[in-house]
Amino acid sequence: MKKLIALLLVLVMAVSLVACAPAANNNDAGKATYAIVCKDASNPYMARMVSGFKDACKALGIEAIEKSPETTSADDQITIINELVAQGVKGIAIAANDAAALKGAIEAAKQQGVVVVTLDSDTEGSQMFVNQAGVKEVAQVLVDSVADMCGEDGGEFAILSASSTATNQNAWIAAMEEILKDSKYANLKLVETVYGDDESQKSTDEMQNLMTKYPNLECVCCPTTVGILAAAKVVADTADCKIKVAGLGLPSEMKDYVGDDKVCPYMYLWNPIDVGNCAAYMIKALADGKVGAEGTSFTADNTKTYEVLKGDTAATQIIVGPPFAFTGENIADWANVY
Amino acid sequence: MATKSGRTISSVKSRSIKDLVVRWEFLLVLIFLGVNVMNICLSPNYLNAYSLFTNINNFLVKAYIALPMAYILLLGDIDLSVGGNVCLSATMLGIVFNETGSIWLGIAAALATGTLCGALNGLILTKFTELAPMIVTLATNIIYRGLSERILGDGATAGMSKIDWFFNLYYGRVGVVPYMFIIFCVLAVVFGLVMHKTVFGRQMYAIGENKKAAAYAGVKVEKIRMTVFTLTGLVCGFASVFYCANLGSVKSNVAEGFELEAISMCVLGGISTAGGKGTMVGAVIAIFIIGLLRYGLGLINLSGQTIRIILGALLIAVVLYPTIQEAIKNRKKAAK
Repeated sequence: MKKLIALLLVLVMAVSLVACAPAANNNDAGKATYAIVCKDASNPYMARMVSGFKDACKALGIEAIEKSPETTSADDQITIINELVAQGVKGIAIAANDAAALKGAIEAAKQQGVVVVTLDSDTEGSQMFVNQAGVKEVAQVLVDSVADMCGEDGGEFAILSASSTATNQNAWIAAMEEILKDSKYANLKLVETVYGDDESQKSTDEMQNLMTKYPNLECVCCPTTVGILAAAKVVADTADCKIKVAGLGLPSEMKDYVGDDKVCPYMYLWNPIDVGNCAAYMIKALADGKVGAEGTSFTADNTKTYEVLKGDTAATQIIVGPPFAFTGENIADWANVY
Repeated sequence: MATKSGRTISSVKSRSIKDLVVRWEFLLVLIFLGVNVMNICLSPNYLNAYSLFTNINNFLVKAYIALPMAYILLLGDIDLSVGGNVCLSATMLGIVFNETGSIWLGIAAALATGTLCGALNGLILTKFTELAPMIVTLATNIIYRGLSERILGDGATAGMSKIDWFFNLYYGRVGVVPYMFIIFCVLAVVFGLVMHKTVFGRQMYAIGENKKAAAYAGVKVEKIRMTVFTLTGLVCGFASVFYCANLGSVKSNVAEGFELEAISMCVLGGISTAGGKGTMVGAVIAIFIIGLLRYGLGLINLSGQTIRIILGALLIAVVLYPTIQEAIKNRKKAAK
């Protein structure tokens, strides 16, 4: 009897697990598969990027898989890369959570013939970085908006970033610090850079800490969509708070906060859908051997022509587009798009 | 022979087939086979040896820690500080390497840090025996990770992956078998032999069964607890070396949740958190059940969150199994 119960329980468990799982993907059906690996789950910016990636894959007749790590630490992304290689995917686009730690896994993937590109956030070992916007351009618009929001007389400002190892945010912040050395910005004082890890709660806590710590703070610059939303909410919920919020934000999330007389007079972003879209075409172009050396240009299957530039971390990079400004006038229209 | 309280007092173990079938390890083997069959059915790529070992490597760092954790649970103790310990050891490895340029000094620093952290746990718990291990190690976990945050700030150390042999500690293989897997096998056998074939092992069982009785029987309870906690620390330092070889850079959020993973592996393996029960064989099978189930579900692209739910459900189902069995037995008795 005991034997029976034991066996039965195990069987029921195994069967129910199989039943819960969706059908296996059939890679050997001849259809190639590309995968996109996000920085974290439940990030609306990443979700837009994924939708662009999937659309492009559909147009190319390629199966698309989306994977998000459990936490923002690098080893979860390593696990995901290894799983994808084991499944036999042909290309991986990854938004890296660490500039160095993924290298081993990426090199192993490339040895198995998988094309690996980075998008949004770069990492060592990647063949091509699909850069949403040039680092200097982003840093320049961010510094200029801070200067504008602090006013003629300048003042104190802080940066609320994503995770401390995120390659893209770090590159922008480094470039901002470089730009700030210009005598033109001498009256702007960066008091501190804090990290909200792209988590709502942590970003909110960090923002509140900043406000307590620096009573003379005039502006907070958030080069991340999660951070800017948290910061804008905190400021809007605090009575008589004069702090202005600048940075990069998603129009649909920020529509209540953007406007001349609001917390955030204007903000910047590019189209994340385009970034994801471009990454899929880039994997295809690399797989087809269409991409030449640095300094050459080529036309991808989306009929757009890209120039191959020297990469900062990856071997090479392409730049999708310049940052776009969202103001009180256009925010309502864009909020419906992404 | 059963007394009124329902406990068996016979000292002779019966070896009937019926007993074998209901033994925990047998159940685990069945689940292990079930998981593998399921994985093979779900994904045609599962049986690729190269990929399989790549993904086994992924959970071996946690598996290293599960081995001494089995000892700790066997004693009736618990160590929630192993995640923080690995994090701090890895931090020291990175910092010492960045400062001196010598990876050997870095490794020495990691091993020393791990051992010291473990010894500190042991010291507090053996000097103040009235303190609950869960609370003490919960606190030291926060301290160790906090220290790492103080040292690293928001930054990270890097550059370790540029040393080939160090990089190969994690990525190197003999044929398709990674070094890490071979090391795990050796460690598992050593830990298993010590647990089941030595006086030290029997004393651990005795302490877990009844601390006072063991002490009256002449077992140096606190000395053994101290040794086991220190050993756990050393293994954390050892594991952190491989962890660094994998990542090549250290940040203060590494090894988060390792303590719970290691404990779940042991508990699924039949090592009771109340102490005195379980075998190393069970723990090792459970390590592979959890690791391979996670891999298989990852292969069919279930989200990480869903995988966690399934693992949690499995853990509860398996741990409940003896209780259900007992209930059925009692009902049958009552029916008679």
